Amino acid sequence: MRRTWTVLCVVFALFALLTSGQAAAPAPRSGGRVVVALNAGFDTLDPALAVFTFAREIMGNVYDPLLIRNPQTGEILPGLASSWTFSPDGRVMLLKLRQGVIFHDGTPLTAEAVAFSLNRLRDPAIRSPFAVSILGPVQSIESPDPFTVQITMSAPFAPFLDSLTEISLAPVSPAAARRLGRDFGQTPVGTGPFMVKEIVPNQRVVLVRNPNYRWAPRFFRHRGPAYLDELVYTVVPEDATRMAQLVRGEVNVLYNAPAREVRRLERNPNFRAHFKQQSGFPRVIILNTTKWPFDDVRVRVAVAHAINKEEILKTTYEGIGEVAHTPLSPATWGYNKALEQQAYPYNPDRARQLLGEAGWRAGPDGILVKDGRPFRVRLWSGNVPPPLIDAQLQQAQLRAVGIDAQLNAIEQAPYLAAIRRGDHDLGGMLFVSADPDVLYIIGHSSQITAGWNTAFYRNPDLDRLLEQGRTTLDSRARFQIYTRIQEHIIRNVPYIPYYVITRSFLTTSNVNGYLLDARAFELFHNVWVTPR
Amino acid sequence: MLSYIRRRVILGLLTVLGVSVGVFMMVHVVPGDPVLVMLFELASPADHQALREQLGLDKPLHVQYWRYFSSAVRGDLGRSVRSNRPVLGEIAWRIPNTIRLAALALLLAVVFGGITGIISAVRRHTLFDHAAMVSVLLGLSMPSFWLGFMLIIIFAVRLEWLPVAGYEGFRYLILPGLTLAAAPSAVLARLTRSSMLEVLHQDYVRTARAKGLRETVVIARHALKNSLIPVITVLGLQVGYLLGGAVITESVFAYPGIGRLVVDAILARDFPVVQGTVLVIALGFVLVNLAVDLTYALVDPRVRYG
Repeated sequence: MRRTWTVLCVVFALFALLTSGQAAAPAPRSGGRVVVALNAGFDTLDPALAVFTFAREIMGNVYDPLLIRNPQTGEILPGLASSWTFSPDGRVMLLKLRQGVIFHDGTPLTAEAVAFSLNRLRDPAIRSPFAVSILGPVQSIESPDPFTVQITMSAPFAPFLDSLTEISLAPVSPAAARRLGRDFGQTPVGTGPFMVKEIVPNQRVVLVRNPNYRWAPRFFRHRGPAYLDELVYTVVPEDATRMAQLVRGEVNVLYNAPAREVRRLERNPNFRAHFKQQSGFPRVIILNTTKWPFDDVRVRVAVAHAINKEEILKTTYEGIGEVAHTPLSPATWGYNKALEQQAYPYNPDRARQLLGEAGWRAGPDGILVKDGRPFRVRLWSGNVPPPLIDAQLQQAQLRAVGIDAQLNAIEQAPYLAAIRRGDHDLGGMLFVSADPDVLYIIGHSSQITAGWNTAFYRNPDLDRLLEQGRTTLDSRARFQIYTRIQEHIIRNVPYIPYYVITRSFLTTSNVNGYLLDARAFELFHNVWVTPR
Repeated sequence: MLSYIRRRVILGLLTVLGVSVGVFMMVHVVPGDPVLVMLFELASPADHQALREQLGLDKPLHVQYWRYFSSAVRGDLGRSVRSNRPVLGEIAWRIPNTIRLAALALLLAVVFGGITGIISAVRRHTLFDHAAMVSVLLGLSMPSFWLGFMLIIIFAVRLEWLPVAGYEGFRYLILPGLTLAAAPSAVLARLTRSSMLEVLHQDYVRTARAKGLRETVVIARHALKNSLIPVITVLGLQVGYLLGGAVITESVFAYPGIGRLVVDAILARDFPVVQGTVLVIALGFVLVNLAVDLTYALVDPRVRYG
């Protein structure tokens, strides 16, 4: 009898052990509401005009792009356009559209609507900031038949496929846009899984399900209308307030959660942490190559040796993300792991040695001096963390090798204007992009002041390579060109990459199906909530 | 009294006029090209020229001012550089929110501060008095953002009695109202106390007591009205604090008022919005102080017949 009992107890214990913690995977259900807290506002929801990151986040749920990148692999796949072809010389592109797509106002998506939306960016009355950058050398956009769009360019433009995955080029309803003109951004009409119910500027956006939505991209398991009844974006600038709202359950998603809080709540079963590496040009230190003494490449190499990237990763970012050695983030097509070896490693002794060879001698206070001039420069930065903390760390690291970098921290808006004007000796920047053509925007000599070549770097060899990268359509050849471009940048150090951005997001545990797209924007079409 | 009112109204209008000049000059006093400062991201030379023309920056200064002033008087305060929405529209829907919050804070300040001050004066040097004055010191010293977060942690997160932030009903006003009321109630408590003490030592109060009137009647009928004059003055100035201090409280509680609007606009260098908001706040301030001055006419007989 005793034996039977023992066996039964053991069996029972095993059973309990095996089935504990095995909550049944929740099945998707329709209904419910998700509230997302953003830490800054948005300018407008008109794709032709919106430049704020959060505007692009919200628009990703109201509009559909023509092409879309697979969130996992980055591969470019059909969106509203079901297929595309290029002419042999690469200058004419034909897009075939999906049929049966309608805008939120009931009007159909036709090639005429797409041509209208793209041509709208080129309309001088609209004053779109993307007219030049994303469209590139586009000459004309026509609709030869109801479901075919023909785009003619003055030269082959390799980044154009990536441009078509940008929400800025998403189709808008021509009827609504014509009627509202520049006010279209206040009552947007797109084709996306959610429709705009209410916009309170810089405060709140309330989206409701689009009941007609049936054209989700193929890689989504869920193809029909969104599960959620309502999706609300609310702007709450203070970190602590946002965290309190998440803990209290007033919001379900924290977009851009502070690293410290993510670490704190990671292991809490009531919350889930999500991470996404950002593609494009990582966080870099800018060296103004027209300002003394950074016009000397030996000095720039020495500065590269002086920066302790691991320390920055650990201090500012709590170890979330990774150190950057190349000018492209690993999530970007064109990234080449082999190039990591070529970056100048952290070695303060080598830095001092190189500076010594360049004619610098230590002064009485430890600051290096050459020809009677001390090595005193101005390091510009935006005035909020994380870049502000990065700048402070870099200042200390430079001081350790005898460089006196005086910190000048100002608000983001005038800071961006200042680095484009070239007021800085040293600065910091990043540039989110899914295509390696971002290196043209930060490295080509034509992009000084007009674009984002804030290192003011002029080099005919690099210019030539960047132009080739734009016009080469063959992937293998293009990849080789961008490898050479990155080698040039690593060797000549107009920029020092130091951190690959990984964005952190916190959700309450009742949010399921959470998905981040290739640019780390949230897609809510697939999301459902379980009752708590 | 009529001449008194007339004088006050004229002075008020002149003040607003002066503020409008100052606000107009703001754009031109900032170092550098104002258009370059306003259009920082991705703007082309064509955009710069368009904004320059839109703002009339290529014309002489007095012409520009006249344009600005005549439009403002008609209600056109320009368009936000960021969102392209009319500035007046952006301000208009937020004003009731800020007024609601400021009014609640003012009410709390008057009730808590006033009553505390009166009792402290009447029960001078007792435990209540000492405790009250220590609280006053705390109320003045605590930074509003710290107080705000403390209230959120205690009442919203731990106890879950009240919501954290935003505005969707009266419950959302309570925590920000308390936060905003802390400093003004402290000031009012102290002021009421000292003003009351001064009045209580006057001869006519002694006379009233000597006549045998009950203490409460002495205080309420005779002492209070006279002690209110300096308090009302300060109250008018406190409204200025409330409209300005609301900026921090509104940020902490993500409250949709004009304080947040002006902070966002300043950080983004959205000059038309900053100008419009400052002008409207100045106008509000002048109106409130005009009301204060008119209240004197009711409370202080010397003014009524002066």
